[in-house]
Amino acid sequence: MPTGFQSIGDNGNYQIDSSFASLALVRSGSLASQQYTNGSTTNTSPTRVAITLNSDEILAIACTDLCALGSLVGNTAYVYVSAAAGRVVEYFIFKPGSAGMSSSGMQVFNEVGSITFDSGWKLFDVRHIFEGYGSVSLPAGRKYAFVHSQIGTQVSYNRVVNGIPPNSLVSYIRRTAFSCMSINGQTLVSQLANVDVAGTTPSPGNVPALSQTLSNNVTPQFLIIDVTGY
Amino acid sequence: MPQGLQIFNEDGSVKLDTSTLLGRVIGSVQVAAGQASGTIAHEQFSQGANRPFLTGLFGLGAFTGSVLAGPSFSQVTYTASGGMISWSRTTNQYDNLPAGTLYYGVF
Repeated sequence: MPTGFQSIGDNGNYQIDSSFASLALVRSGSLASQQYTNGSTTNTSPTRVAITLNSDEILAIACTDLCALGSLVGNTAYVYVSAAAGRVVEYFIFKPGSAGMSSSGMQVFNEVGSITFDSGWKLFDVRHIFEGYGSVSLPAGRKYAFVHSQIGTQVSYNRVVNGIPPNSLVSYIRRTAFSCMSINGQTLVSQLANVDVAGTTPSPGNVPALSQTLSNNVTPQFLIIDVTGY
Repeated sequence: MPQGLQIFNEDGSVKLDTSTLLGRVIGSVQVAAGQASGTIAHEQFSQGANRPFLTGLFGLGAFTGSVLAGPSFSQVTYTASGGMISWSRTTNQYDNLPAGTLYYGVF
């Protein structure tokens, strides 16, 4: 970088670089999870929330129950909660350099005059990198949310027979589990939990058995963001 | 803090000092349906002690098998080394790989 401004942290990490805009909070809110249907299965637990997410936006979430970001369809991100309906998911949406300008404090601009840092922005403040499963306790008195960096998955497929042949009905069920996180105050828990169940319509007939579990064998990774006051 | 930049909130509390890790997204790539792996190179990945990260947003895939209903999910795994991120995602005989976007950055 021949010109401009850089701030380098204790560990040699670049905190501010005038060539690349810092992430700043653009929206936040909370939503209650709702049941939904996938295939012929109506999911009452897990449930999900739908959050509008536009291009170049990064979503951080927090819930006291285990939850995970599952998909983006159009501009709608679906966060799945491994619990019954009514659980509250808090969301925090960050975008590079798009949070307006303050009237005081420090500002940094790039070579074409676009703002890349403003000390009044609510920043993407990474306080911890949580890898694997288990729990961790962070400093109290702060509010935390997480961003998936790497998601562990496990998908199981089964045939389910209801009733006694020949008067039985058969369906195929798929259960999807993700590495989820729950946040209760300063305690964060990472655990593989169901985020979706999908099934075919039960029907009569002698269909082949199916029992298979597939995993991506990934060590999950979460970025833990300090969202105190956001 | 013996030296370096500090920024304070209006109430006098520290907003930023040299121990702060601030995330920056430095780019994105569109991933086509069916694409199972790729690499991303960027000078920022290896600048100083920057730590690269990747986060993915994918649509819902469809079953390619005939016995299951309902859309399926897709997630990526990645490794970062030498100024490059290598990512991949798995599929199986039942599900395909939906299109999506990968955002990459450093902190």
